[in-house]
Amino acid sequence: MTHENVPFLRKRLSKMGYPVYEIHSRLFDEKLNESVKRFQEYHGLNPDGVFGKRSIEAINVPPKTRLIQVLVNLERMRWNNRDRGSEYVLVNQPNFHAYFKSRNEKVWQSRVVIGLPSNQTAEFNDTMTHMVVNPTWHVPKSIAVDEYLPLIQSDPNFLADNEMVLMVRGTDTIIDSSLIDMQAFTPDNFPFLIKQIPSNINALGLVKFMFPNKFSIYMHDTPMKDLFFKDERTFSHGCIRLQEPFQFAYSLLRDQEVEPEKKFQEVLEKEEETYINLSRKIPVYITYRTVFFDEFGQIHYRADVYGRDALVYMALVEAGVSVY
Amino acid sequence: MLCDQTKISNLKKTFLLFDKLVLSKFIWVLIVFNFFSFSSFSQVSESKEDLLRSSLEASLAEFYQSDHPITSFYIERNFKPYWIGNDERLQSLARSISKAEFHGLPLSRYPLRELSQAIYEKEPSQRAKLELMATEAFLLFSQDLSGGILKPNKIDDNINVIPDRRDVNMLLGSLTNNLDLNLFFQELYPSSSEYKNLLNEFRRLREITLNGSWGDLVPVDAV
Repeated sequence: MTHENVPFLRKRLSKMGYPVYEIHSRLFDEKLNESVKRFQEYHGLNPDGVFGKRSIEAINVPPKTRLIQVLVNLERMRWNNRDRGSEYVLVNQPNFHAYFKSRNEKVWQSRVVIGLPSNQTAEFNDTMTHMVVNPTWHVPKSIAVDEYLPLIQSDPNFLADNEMVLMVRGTDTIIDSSLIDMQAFTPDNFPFLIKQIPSNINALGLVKFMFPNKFSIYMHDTPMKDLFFKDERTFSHGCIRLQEPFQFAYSLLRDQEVEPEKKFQEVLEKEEETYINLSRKIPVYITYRTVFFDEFGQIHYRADVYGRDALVYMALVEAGVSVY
Repeated sequence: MLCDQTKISNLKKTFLLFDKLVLSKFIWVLIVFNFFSFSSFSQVSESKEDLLRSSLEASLAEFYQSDHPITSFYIERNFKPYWIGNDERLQSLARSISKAEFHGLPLSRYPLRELSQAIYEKEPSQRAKLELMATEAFLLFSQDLSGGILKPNKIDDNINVIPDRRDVNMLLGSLTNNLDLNLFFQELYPSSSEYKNLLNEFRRLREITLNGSWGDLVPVDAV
């Protein structure tokens, strides 16, 4: 394939240090395709060799912006200047990726979905204490009244179709919603709790991983697996959805069960909400790093999805920092 | 305890104020100098040291509470300066701090100009203030290197990170006679290879941005 923009792409990649030859050629050949895929991988894009809008945006980021990103991430690294120990879970939000290290080895990793820009996942450190298999989802009030109440009012079968029930606050009493005039409620006077019972379509999937914190953020499975194939994965209300939750459960249980997979599957098959306490507390780091290095020492850049790089840079400038 | 630039600024202010009076005091100092020049050298040296100690005690009383870690540090030393009078140590501190920009830290946070001139200062009360400025600079640079210069949760509610800043008493306790300052500072910033790689990338991108760019932009219509 040839294209008039290919020489621009070749020149820019070459200047950035990628192995590109014949910079004036209009040919998009296999060698160029390899460099493009590498560029995409190092910038958090699906490495498909298709140089679309996101790839062009990423390659056109000026070096000064990258310099500012590095400056901000140096400050972030100093904030987290501590030994993480030999066992911990780390989520890097702009990379939409999580991993679990045990005995200094990466024993699990997964793509993740994080919060929407309007429902950002916070940066914090905590400790994981337990997991819940076949979890019930207690729908937060904001989601119940803002998102579900209009759906319940327009579709009488909405609750049943989604394995949801209405409950009186502070009790275990389930309300028969067919006996209630749902049109009488507004977001201000809706008096019920909505619970989604354990099932395959539960928003939390089949397992959630708990590290109790003031942000009510946890990690969980999800029925919406297709979202993991998007480049930018900001779709949740703040919680962290995992592409590979079962493998995570097995690796967490490895130190306390002889057959972790079997144990997990047995609990899962009961189809009842079940707590499994971890035999030790596992540190969890929910981080935000837009520049980082992989295990081969290769630098990776990611988009500032929540605009926090900009906020930190502004604060650094106010403190007297200059990139030159 | 979190160090900030306030104390350094306060010390600087009075330091500059005194600076303006130096000329008017010069004649008076000459008269005093002539008077004392008849005494033996050792007596002069001893009285100079005593003067510096009492100036340091007075400056501490002026700028710090009696229970402040810096006051306690100097009380334990019987008000003997740590930096002033040891030119090599003072220069080593200034040299280390002058590398702040390699880490993306602003030089303007530290009293580098004052520190580099400190070895020429003779006036006891000025020297006392320079001594305190050097100690403050040491503490601030140490905390900046080890825990950053910003308070993360003041930037955004979603950045709920609490940096592990080094304890002031611990830092002051490390000021021993055989402290290798260069090595000490090296051990404060993150020890991971990732931080060192990031420093290298910072230097590389600085050079790129100063000497050009990555050339023409790729046109917006897809390839």
